[in-house]
Amino acid sequence: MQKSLGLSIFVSLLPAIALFATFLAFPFATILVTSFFEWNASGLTFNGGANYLELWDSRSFKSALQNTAIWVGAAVLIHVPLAVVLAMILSRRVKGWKVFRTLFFLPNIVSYSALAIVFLGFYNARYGALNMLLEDIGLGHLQQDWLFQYNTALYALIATWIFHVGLYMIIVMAEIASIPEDIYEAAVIEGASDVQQDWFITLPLLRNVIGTCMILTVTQSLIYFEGIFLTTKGGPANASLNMSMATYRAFERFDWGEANAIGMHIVLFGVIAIVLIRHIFRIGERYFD
Amino acid sequence: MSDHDRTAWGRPLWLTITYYAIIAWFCFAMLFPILWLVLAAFKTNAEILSASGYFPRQWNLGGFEDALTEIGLLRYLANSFLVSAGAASLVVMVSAMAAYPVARFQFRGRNLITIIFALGLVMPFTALIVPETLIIRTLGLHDTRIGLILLYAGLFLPISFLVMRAFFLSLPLSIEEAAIMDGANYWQILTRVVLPLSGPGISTVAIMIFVFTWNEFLFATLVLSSEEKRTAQVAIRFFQSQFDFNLPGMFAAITIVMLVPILVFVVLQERVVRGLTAGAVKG
Repeated sequence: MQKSLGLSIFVSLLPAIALFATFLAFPFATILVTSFFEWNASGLTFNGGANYLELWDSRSFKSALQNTAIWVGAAVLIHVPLAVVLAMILSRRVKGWKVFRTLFFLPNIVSYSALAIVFLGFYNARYGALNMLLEDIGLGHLQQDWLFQYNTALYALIATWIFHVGLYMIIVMAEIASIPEDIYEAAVIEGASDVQQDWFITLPLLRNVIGTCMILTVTQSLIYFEGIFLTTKGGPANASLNMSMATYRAFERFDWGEANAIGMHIVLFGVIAIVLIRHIFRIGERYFD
Repeated sequence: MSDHDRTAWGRPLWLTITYYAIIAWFCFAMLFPILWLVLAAFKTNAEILSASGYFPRQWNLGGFEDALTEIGLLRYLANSFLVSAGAASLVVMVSAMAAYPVARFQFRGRNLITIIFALGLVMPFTALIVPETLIIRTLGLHDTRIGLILLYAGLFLPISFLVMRAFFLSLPLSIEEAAIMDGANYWQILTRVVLPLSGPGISTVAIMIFVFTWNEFLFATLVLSSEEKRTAQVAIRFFQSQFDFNLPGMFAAITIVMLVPILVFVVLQERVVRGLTAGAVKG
């Protein structure tokens, strides 16, 4: 009986282990090892850290790093705080909060590729809605080709995504709903306003969940791809190139060793971000004992 | 839980106004671009290009007709459906089979499996495009739907595993114990007792994976190369050349592609939200 149970458990686990090994573990081992190789269509030759040295020397990789850093910065400083503010407001049960919760979540359920075309139209210099809107509100002098000029491309792309905070809003709302009511009692008796309660009581209690959202948004920012690939392709002149787009470019020109070296940077930055955020937000520590 | 203290009761008017101002601004920032595109899908090409007004002068269905007839959007949608439904079923099966013993039995390597799957959760997929492409080619699965389904199953396995595991942990033990007393073996307990009780967990994972894979673009592009196998997301890449200055057609096609996950969401809202938050918080 005991022996056959062990066998059953093993058989039960086997498909998952096989899939995990084939499509996650082995690919990761591959990029780790081959990032130290010159690898293209003709073969594989060890070249030490040449891929890495080349990258750190290349101007386009520097742009990719810089743009990814700006993107991550926007995620941390704007994206998550907006989600928290919105979650606090909707948690106050303002009239219609359920409808707004659904509405705000909808963009999260739409694919980045569809949104890429939405914004390709929205920003279009000739017929786009943004330029139309600027004209209508008397800011016609600001009209420009938002996605395809050097100074605005990256920020236009960030704006296609930064207001889509629905997922984090819902996660934070779930956390707010789980805060026991009696914690607010003293504050209510003392006459603290909604805003004071949110700022001094709710916000500190959201530390864990905000940390979790930070981890999710930073790792998502590191792999953001479709919206760039389907619009600017990283241009003009690398103005909107990020790490994922740089990986894809190296892959496309059969410079696989380099693609994997960039991939290793993405993995590494992800791990550093997770460790750092867990530390800063002291994730896992309890509030009460 | 009584929540009257944190609701509208006794809130000053200026604060209510501020709340609604913020909400209104968000509605505008999030939804205006999408709504503009959906409205534009009902315009004529000339009307879009003239950039005059947000609403169509006449509600024109030509764009939707073109989207459905000219480029074979229905076939792309059917392909997407096949791939997403296939991936969701496979992931549900595999993750349930793996999560159940981890949640319920003591054996060596049990914690290690959980830790390794949790690590897989944070793997940045775009870093893996070279090896994934080559593995698919080596296995002879390039340009096959089954290849894409297997790849998705692998990539989305960690999150499904962790959600299923959390679900199994929340099930009461007593029914399984009764089944063991009756002499049922592992597979009988799993298929006849546990899975029939796991409807909510299974549907949460299935819906979540369906939406994720429906929206996935990068690996679908890498794996599927022939035109007749394209998923809707891959097709989007070719819309601009296919529609060749037929903007209402392109916008209508995008509207239809966006509509599917939105419908899934609106109909199954509670489940989707629970799945996404469970997956996220567990991560």
